[in-house]
Amino acid sequence: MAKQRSSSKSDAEPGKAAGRTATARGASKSAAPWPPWARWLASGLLLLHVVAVFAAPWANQTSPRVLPPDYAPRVAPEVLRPADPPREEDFRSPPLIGALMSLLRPYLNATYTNHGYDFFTPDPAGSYLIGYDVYDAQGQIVTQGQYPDLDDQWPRLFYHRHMMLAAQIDEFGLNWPNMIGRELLERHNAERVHLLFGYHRLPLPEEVAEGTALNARWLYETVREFDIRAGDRDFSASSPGDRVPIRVPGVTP
Amino acid sequence: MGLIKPVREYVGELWQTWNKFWFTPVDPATLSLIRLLAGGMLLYTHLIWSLDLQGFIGPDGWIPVDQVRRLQTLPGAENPQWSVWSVFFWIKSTWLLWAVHLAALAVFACLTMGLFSRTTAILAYLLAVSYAHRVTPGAYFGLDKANVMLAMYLMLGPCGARYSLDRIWRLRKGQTDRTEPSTSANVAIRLIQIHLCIVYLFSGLAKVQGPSWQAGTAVWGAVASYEYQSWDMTWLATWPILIAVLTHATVFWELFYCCLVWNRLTRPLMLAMAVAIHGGIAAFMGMITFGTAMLIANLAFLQPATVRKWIDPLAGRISLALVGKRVE
Repeated sequence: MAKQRSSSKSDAEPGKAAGRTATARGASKSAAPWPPWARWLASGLLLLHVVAVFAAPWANQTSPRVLPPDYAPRVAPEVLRPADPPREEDFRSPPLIGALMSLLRPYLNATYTNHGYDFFTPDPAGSYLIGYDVYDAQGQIVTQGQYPDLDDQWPRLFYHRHMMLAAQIDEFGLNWPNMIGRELLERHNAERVHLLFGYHRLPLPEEVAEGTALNARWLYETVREFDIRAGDRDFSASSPGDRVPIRVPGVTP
Repeated sequence: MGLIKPVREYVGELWQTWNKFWFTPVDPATLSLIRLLAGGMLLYTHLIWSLDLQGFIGPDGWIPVDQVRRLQTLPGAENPQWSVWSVFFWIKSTWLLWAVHLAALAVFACLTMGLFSRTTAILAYLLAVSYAHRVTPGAYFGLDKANVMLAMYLMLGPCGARYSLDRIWRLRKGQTDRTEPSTSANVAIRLIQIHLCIVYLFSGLAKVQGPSWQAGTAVWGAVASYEYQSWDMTWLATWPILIAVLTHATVFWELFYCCLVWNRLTRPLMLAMAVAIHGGIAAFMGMITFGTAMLIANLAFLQPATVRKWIDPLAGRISLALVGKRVE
């Protein structure tokens, strides 16, 4: 396939080449080239934009973790020693990338280009699931289900949105059990919801070759469980988890 | 003294090449085809939000707006970043939410059909960013990044010059049906091409940091995910060499796409691999929309002449049926 441009065998100005090409294609008049000042201006803007689009994934994939403003390391009673506090290195940003991002971040944010492209990296991993049982005031189950669930969420893109919700919700230090629980309680006019946050690990090839199904029960583990009652609206506390939140889109040093 | 002339000539040649690359007018056929397909993808993506609009886009929902805004605040800052914006951050009522949503769907539909293309392209981009920011983080993924990228560049050029109701309308009014080569169309296409190169480069660089991508076992992780699986590929469990070939080929393709896609001999190979990889993601991992959106972006590397060879016959028949004239 030829290159994405008018065929021109000379080093003539783009306008002259365009004229020949346009004529060759039967146009009634040749396309007017951009004047030099427009090309200079556009070149500057294009360079800026390309640098910005390059800097965003560069920063996203090299910057250290960023913690939410109210992050505090949790001391879990079952752990023998407290969780390590964040180190100073965790807040330091790479000099050049940090400088670039401090200039370009508003533009990148505003254009929704401030992200990385780390798909299935560093390695493909298992999936997180949110199971729920919703109870009425009498303690009867009103509804139950999970996110994601292909039987319940269709078409595929709708299912995928729920899969992303379950995958992302525990990553940012949100009090997500209260949020999800509140939403379920309101939808079903219920009194209590039991949430189960689970992880479905990937089977090894050897396990599958020996007959393990991808959804074998023993591949699932419960990470945490929560009971949310009507009236639990405190979103201020960090999620009662022990994972350090990873980078938040748009928020990089 | 001996260096000045060669350097000046080199800089002059660089500027000429830069001009040729960016500012040569081209037939907007490729851009128009991308508009037609990306518009359809935008329409479908956002139509799906209708199934739980309040939950994902409303002011409360799964992750309330104020919590998303809290996350979008830089460490140490008091207020969320002004640059992370969305119309949905300000909508509180259900009726207004649905009104904006339905209007957005109308915009995406108009963009797909190429009606008031210039205006709807800008509106589509602004709306796509609004939806994306509302669900980032929470329920976003690569599809949103691809959609916004395509929408952003579509608004830079005459994306409704071909294969559009705008053109049909011009024909009906008796205006010339000749489509002029356009510099802005070339700029838009070049930006899609470069952005795509950046996407694949950094995707590849991120992958090579993962042990399973280095070792050649990562593709197994993709096919062994029950939640992603849409076609049973677990037979690969007994074919570790094939898994390794697929894994290493994926990394190689992503890392070197930015170099090899520009050469006329290697471009067909790179595009064929794009079809295989994104087609595989769509077919075997259930991400039909994401795979399709990335393939739409890869169309930017097609020559306008190629696009016209495929699409013009159909476009001609449609215009003949609608206005009694065949577009050229």
